[in-house]
Amino acid sequence: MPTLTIDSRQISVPGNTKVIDAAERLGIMIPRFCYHPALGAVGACRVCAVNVKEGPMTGIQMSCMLDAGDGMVISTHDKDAVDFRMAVIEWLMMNHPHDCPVCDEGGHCLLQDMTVSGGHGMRRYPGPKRTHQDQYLGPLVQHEMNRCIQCYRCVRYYREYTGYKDLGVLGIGSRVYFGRTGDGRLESPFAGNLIDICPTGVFTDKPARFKGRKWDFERAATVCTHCSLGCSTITSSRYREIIRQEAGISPDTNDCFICDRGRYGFGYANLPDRPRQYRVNGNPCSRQTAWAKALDLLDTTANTNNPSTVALLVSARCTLETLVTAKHLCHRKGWHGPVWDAPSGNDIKSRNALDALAPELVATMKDVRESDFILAIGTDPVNEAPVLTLALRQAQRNGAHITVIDPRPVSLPFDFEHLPTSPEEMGDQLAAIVCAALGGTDLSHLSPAGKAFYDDLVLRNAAATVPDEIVVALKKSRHPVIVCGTHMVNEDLPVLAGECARMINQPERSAGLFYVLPGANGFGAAMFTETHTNAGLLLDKIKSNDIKTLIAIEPEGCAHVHSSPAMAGILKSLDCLLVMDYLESPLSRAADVFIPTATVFESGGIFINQNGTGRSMQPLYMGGTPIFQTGRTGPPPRLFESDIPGAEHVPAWLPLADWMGLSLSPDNSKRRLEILKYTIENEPWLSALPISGDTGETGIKLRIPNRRLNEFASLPHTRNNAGNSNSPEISLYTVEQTFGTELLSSGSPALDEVIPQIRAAMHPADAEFLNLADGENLTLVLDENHELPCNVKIETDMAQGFIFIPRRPDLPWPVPGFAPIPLHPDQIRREKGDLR
Amino acid sequence: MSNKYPQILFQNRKPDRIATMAEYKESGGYQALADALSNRSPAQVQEEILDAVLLGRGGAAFPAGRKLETVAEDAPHPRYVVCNADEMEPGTFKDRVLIHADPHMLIEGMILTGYAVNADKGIVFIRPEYEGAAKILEREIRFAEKEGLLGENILGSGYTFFIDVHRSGGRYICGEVTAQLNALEGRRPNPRKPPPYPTQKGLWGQPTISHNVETLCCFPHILRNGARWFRDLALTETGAGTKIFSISGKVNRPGCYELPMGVRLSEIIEVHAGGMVEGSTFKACLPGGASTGFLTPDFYDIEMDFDTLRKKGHRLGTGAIMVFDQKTCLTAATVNLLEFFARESCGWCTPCREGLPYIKHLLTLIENGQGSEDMIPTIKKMSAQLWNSYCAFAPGAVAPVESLLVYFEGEVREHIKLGRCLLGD
Amino acid sequence: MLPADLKKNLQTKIATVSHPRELVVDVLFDIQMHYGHLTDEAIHEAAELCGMAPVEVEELATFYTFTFREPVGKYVIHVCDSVVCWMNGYQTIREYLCSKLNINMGETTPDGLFTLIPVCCIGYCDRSPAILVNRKVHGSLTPAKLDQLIEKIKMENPAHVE
Repeated sequence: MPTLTIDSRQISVPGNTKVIDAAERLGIMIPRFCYHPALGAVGACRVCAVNVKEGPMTGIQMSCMLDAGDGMVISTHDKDAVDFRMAVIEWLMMNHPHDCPVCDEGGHCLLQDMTVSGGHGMRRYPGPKRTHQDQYLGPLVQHEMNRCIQCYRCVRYYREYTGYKDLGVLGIGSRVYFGRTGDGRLESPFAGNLIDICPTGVFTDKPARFKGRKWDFERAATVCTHCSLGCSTITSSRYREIIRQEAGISPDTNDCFICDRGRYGFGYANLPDRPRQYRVNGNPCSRQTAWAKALDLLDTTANTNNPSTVALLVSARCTLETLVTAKHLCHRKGWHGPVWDAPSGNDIKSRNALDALAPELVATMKDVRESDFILAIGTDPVNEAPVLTLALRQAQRNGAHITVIDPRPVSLPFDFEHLPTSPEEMGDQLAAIVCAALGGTDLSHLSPAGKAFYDDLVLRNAAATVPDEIVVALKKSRHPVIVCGTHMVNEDLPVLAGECARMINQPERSAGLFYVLPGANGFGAAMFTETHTNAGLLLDKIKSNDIKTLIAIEPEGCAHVHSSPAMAGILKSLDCLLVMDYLESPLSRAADVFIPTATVFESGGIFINQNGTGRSMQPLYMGGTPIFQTGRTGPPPRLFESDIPGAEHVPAWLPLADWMGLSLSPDNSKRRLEILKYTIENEPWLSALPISGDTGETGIKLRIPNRRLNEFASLPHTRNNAGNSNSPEISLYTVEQTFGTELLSSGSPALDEVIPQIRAAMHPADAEFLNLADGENLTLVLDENHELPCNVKIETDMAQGFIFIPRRPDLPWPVPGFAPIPLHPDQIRREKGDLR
Repeated sequence: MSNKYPQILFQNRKPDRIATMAEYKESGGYQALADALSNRSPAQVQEEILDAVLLGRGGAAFPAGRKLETVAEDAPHPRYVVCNADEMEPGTFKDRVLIHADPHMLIEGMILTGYAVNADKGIVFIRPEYEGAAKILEREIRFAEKEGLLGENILGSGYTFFIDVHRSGGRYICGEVTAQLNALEGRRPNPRKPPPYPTQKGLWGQPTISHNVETLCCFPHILRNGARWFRDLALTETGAGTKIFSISGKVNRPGCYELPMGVRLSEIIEVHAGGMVEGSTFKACLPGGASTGFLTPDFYDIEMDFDTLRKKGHRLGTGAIMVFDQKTCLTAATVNLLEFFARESCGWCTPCREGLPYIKHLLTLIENGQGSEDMIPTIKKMSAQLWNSYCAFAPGAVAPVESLLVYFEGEVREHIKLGRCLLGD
Repeated sequence: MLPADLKKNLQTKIATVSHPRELVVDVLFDIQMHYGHLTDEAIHEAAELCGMAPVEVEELATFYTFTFREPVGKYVIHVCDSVVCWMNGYQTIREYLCSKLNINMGETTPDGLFTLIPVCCIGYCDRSPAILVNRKVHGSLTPAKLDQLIEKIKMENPAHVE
């Protein structure tokens, strides 16, 4: 712990701390442009100069490049240092266009701040400015090279941090240019972070252009709800519209960066056709009317039928408050559910995952970044949990060995080992790797269940062969992490992955376990929904008239495949359909009573991410129809009203609490705390959450009281050996894609352009068997009522026997919950006019 | 040519052609290699070089022997020897002449360096303007390989060393050792900041020794004749060896001359370069390339070695002497030098990338008679601030500016007073 | 598209080195020789050959003096403008060339034969003023020598049309 003096104040810091960071600990913010905690120091901009009065090298030094040393005496405000920094700013401003009035960065621009605070108020340089032409970088990021101060952050972030390779630094000297080889969309789904890290306005938020200054916005720290990682975000709204999102900083999750799905996915909250009114039988009505009608219908049902004919459907996009309230409402009323509306089987897989998640094994994204061996099984990070890719990339940069076992054509922006394996065989490969790595290890400490588990591994091991280098890397590793998905896996795989993590967790090796769950609140949904049912069974029950009333609260899969004839048929059997949502869907349109609910930006709420961290969001704004959509922006005279148009929405838990008879305050903020208190008090394992709702920047780690570290489950040996490779059938799976499949973001207009066309990924051998060529149009005949036009994409790096198509919410899928469909070659039809 | 001094590096130099391998051998070439491979350990080779006080001839004057020692004995393989033939310092052309004179001397020097650090591969990094020299080297390397002097199991010693020629795309910054490593790796040639030093982690992250052509050419002679002999070649106590001076500008016989270290500037100009051209008198010279400061007539008799110049606040640099006469405006000459540096700055760090064009612009205004008095302190202060840039490029670039404002401030101020250049056209 | 034999030559050369990207400048020079300058296509072809991303090649192609990202004449004349040539008549040489070819520095003659570009010290200070014509040096220049040089090239390219 070297102790040094900065501006006459002493501080002790850990070894290898840079002076710039040591100063920051003292609250002294040394100016910086090229330095960024996530990118490290390169000493390019020279604006962090300090004067070293005592130390191995005295004089002007760059504080980002200088290790804090014992006995150093450093001045940040010495005249030489101040003069030099002022000179650096003057140099940087020589060519800057001074276009702050029309620059979107204005007001939150590091260059602006440093220019003012550095004392460079007067332009002295008499020469002309160099100018550049800008490039088209796609619909999300705006390029304005003239503003560039050549700090190199963008290229370092893009190439080194994320591993994508289509942005570079061109030219030389004072003409260096940061761009692509030509116009075109930035390929990285993390390109939006350029906006955040650029210290000036070279990269700005394109959809948010000219929509306001930082001080015009209502801003709040938020949690991203577009996958299960729970990245920190900062959301800005103005005129009742969400304008933009930035990455928040959260060392345990996203570090400093988010994906473009998270950044631009908020558009659903602003949609002009967002349902903002109560409806009865499809007709707009007052809140009172709808409220009364709902009560009336529910009372009738309860009187005429058994309460168990009422079912309640929820999803992973519901807040924790809604899920808990729904659970207790169902219990109290004797209703069926709550049923988790998740893609087929993902509910049970998630529950299995949480069951295996011993608190000691829980890995955060930080653990993933710092890991030296990662085995990702049944997950496609870029598409399912994009920012996980960045965590893997950091591990890989530090030398970690990374393997992905998954049937899909998994692509990551760095070198890794991919074993394209069918879901049936993934478990065997995992077992084989773990078994081989454990060979020769003393396992005498294991419980009988542990030994039995090991025997099971040995059995499975015999069924698979895996590359040696993976085994060697695992043997050598000290911090391995097993990452496991919950979609492209068999039901027992999450359990197996958890047990394997237990198994490789040895005294000299601390293993981590990281599940990717479905949806923002998959954790909560798994905990608070009814275990013995699911969306598929629910639909069966409707068909068989066992369920007559359906209350769908912010549903996911079910709601959005209702364009399919199969689902429309099922709906007809219902006596009563009650839908609560902030999205319009085939289901909401068919509702007898529709109640508009608030988005998380309007209601706030708690979400539990995939590792059990609870994060609460405060409401950002009141909501209501965006001012530009009301038509009330014209010239005076204007009509002034006390109400906010389109702001009738309520948090989804409010009607539930009402039906349950909870008496809540009419005041919004008060009843928010009341429902939170109710939520925490009624679920003991949530007691770590503060009643105030303030979970802080990092969130609260919630640990479910499940099996302990050394308790092994007796594994149901469900491996399906019947897989017949001679069968001509091909399994059609729907899979997640970064853009276009996640329900909320796929409704965001900003992302329209980046959603790829629907292509059917297949193995070259299957394509050959079916006589299909890459790029060819074809129609998949799902059944007599459902056809799906798409386009062939031949992928060499995937398992044989599958077709993967993106799980678009608008697909006319005939089977509930997007369950895979076996296709016979006859069902794969080439388009007419094909000349091949 | 009236050169009374021993010709070592130029012993086989001919006015019209390249020395052949046979001629090189005849003059004692490859004896040092044969001797080292059979009679000396790498450590002994290092010791001899260290003892010879051979200072790097590329401009930085770092002791070549000390550099060799920094490659740890147990350092990983492959290890590289890089020959820096990216001679781009304005005024400097000695390496081109050396390669054209006696290419095998360089090849032997590289092999000996390789042997001294147990390196596996040598690479000549050469500027694209020297395509002729590159072709010569490629051809002569093949000849050396044929004779078993290079390649697998050299002279049956068990030592294996290969040499490749790598052409640069052409930029001054590529001559900077760490930038050159990036260039060799097919990356943008921005300098790298040590640590780690190239001798620990250089090319492809492997231990790498970089030497200038002239430095490497000294190796065979030192090893053949001994460190003592090499040191005694110099005329001064502090110097060692000979130096190839490339002299240009307003002299009668511009060219390369091999002279003892410590020879007087006046002798170089008057005796070897044939004196000033008709009608010219000596006004100043840059003693070692564009990144050194002006020497005024007060220094006319100075002993040209690294130490003497350093003590007087100057640098011998590459020993490229550019002579200016009384008819040349040094303000304009400095603008020209700044144009060079501003154009060649790699663009990595702010002071160099923006500061050089800034100073150039101010000095251009002064030269054109549009300057103002306040520009002079600005240029002085900014030049000093450019010392705080990322690599040695900018400090070198401001050397002429700083010395201009020390020795010729009056001349610069004249421009401002008169509103024009007295010497200009 | 690159001719098959050139591509094959380059591939063979690349196969001999441990890191394909170390040859990227050589590859760029060879491809440039074929196309005359580095076209967008050339950048992509070089990238593919060297196992690099196109923008990594672009980063180099736009950095170096002797890689041309814009069309140049069949003969690229680099006129040294550094200090020794500058004091020994660079200006005369430059003006003479510009008027003789009737183009400014940085331009190409309409017949596509010549391009004039200033260049930093080329290491021929003992023969100043000096120029490079397609990387071959010509020193101690006078207008008369330049006339000879230009005329010779014109004679060798009687019907040169771009």
